[in-house]
Amino acid sequence: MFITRLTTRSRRTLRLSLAMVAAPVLAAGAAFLAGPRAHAEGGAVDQAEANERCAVRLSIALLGKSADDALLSSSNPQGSVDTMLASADFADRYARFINSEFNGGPSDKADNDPVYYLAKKIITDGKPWSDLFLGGYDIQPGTNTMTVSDNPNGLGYFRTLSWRRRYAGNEDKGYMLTGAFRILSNTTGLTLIPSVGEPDDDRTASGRAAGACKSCHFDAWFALDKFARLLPMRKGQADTAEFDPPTEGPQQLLGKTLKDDKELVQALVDSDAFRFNQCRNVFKFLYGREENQCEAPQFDACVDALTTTKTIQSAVAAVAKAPAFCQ
Amino acid sequence: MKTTFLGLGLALLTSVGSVGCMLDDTPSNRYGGNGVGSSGGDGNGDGTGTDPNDTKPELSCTEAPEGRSYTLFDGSKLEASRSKENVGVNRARQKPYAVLAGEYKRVLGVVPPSLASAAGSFADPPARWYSEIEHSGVSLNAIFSLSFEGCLEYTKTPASYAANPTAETAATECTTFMRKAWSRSPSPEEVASCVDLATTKLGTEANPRRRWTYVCASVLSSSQFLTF
Repeated sequence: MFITRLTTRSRRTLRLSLAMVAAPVLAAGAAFLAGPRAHAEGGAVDQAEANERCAVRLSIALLGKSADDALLSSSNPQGSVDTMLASADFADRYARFINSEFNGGPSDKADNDPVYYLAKKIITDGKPWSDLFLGGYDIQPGTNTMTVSDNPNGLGYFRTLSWRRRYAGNEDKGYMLTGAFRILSNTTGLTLIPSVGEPDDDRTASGRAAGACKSCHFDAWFALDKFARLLPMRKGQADTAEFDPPTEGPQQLLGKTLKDDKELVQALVDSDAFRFNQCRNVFKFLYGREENQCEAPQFDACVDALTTTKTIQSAVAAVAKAPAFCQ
Repeated sequence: MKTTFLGLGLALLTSVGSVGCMLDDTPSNRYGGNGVGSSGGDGNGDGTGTDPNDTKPELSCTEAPEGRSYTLFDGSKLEASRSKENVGVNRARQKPYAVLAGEYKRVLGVVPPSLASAAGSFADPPARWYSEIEHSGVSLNAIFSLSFEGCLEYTKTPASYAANPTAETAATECTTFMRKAWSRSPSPEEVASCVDLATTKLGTEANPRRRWTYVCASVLSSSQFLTF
C-alpha cells in the first residue's frame, strides 16, 4: 500500500517528502544536543510539561502503553507508580522482558517459555521474586500456553521439562553444561563467550579438564562441569530427551558443599550477585540500559526493596519513583 | 541515544580529574537539586519522590556517589562495570510500535489507518517476547509515511490550515503543535526551523493543507516525538 503511494507520487512531491525527512532529522539532532536544558535556561522549568513527560515515560516504560488523559494531567505522575505496578499490563510486560533476558531467543511454541508464564504468575500473585528460581511450581504445556500449578518438588522454572530440553546441550555423556550456564546466567548475570575450539579438539570431560578449557569448565567459580554434576543427565536428544537424576553426589561449589540443584540455586539466590543482577535487570527494563555510576543510590534502593519487600514490583518502584527517573 | 555534548563535556571534565560540584561540594550532597539521597527519595514524606508544587533544579551528579559494593563469588566488584555517566543523560528510548497508536491519538486525535498493518516495519516483538526497537531505513520511512497519513486527517478541516503559512501563523502553529507532540515547549531555534520549513522550504507545495501536513509530519518524525 505504501509502495503504491510512493510510486504514484509526482517527482515534485517526492522531493518534498525527502526534504521533510531530512529536515526533522537535522532539526532533531540539533535540538537533541541543545535539549530541554536550552529551554530551561530561558526561564523556570514548566512543571506541567515535566509532569506530562514523566507521565509518558512512566506509562510506556511500565505498561508499554501511551499515557491516558488522567495521567497526562496529573500533578504527580510518580504517585501512580504503585497502581501501574499492580496492573496486568505490567505483569505481562515485565514477564516478557525477563523472558527475553533469560531465554536464548523468541519461540513460536508457548512450551518454550516457562520463564514468561511463571514470571507473570509470580508478579500477578505478589510473590517474592526469588520464587521464580526457587518456588515450588509445576509448569505444564497446554494449548498454546503453559499452566502453572503448585508442586513442592518444583524449583522455579529450572525443573520444567521443556526448559531442560531446550538447554540440555549436547555433551556426550549427557551433562547439562548449557543448563548449568543458564542457571548461573539467569541468577547472577554471568556472561561467557563460548569457545568453538578446533575440529579435532577433545570435547570429552577429560579434554575439557585440560588446556585452555579447564579454566571455565573446572577452575573458575562458575566451573561449568562441576555445576552440571548437580543437574540431571540427559538421555536422548532435542524434543524427545529425558532426564535421569544426577549420580555424582555433592559438589564443592561457591564455598559450600552442595548436594543438589536446589541447594545450588539457593546459594546463588542468596548471593550479592543475584541481587545485583536482578536490579540491573530492573534498570534495563526502566532505562533501556544498565545503571551508571551516578545512579548507585537508586540502585541500592532497588536492592534494599528486593531484600526487604522481596517482590520485583517493590524493586521497580524504588527506581521508578526516584526523582531522577523523570528527569 | 546519548546527549553527546553533555557526555563529552563530562568525559573531558572527568579526564582532568577536577570535577567540582555544581551546587554543594560536600560529600553528602554530590547531587545538585534537592538531592537524590541514599534511598532515592526526596524527603517529602509521601514516598512518591516528587512534590508536585515544587519546581526543582535538575539533578546533577558531579562526583560518583558512594554506593554500596557488591561482590561476586571470586571477590570481584560488580559495580566496577558501571559506566561513568551523569544522572539524566543517556535517557532517550525509542517509543515502541505498540504505543504509536496511542501517541498519534494523543497528538492528532486520530490513528493513521495504515499503522495497524505496519508491525513488520518496526520489528515488533513476537508473543511473550520483548525487545527495544531499533530504527532502520524501513521504519523511519514508515514513520514519515504514517505521520503524513495521520496529519492529512489532522489538517483536513480546520480553517487555520486553509491558507498557506505565514511567518506569524507558522510560528503559532509550530509552537502549539511541537508543545503537544513533544510535551515540552520548543526552543526559539526549533520554532524558527519549523517556520522556515513551513514558509520557505515547502514553498513549491501549492496546496496549503498539504503544506501544513508536511509540517505536522516533520514534527512527528522528530526524535523528540519518537523518544520517551
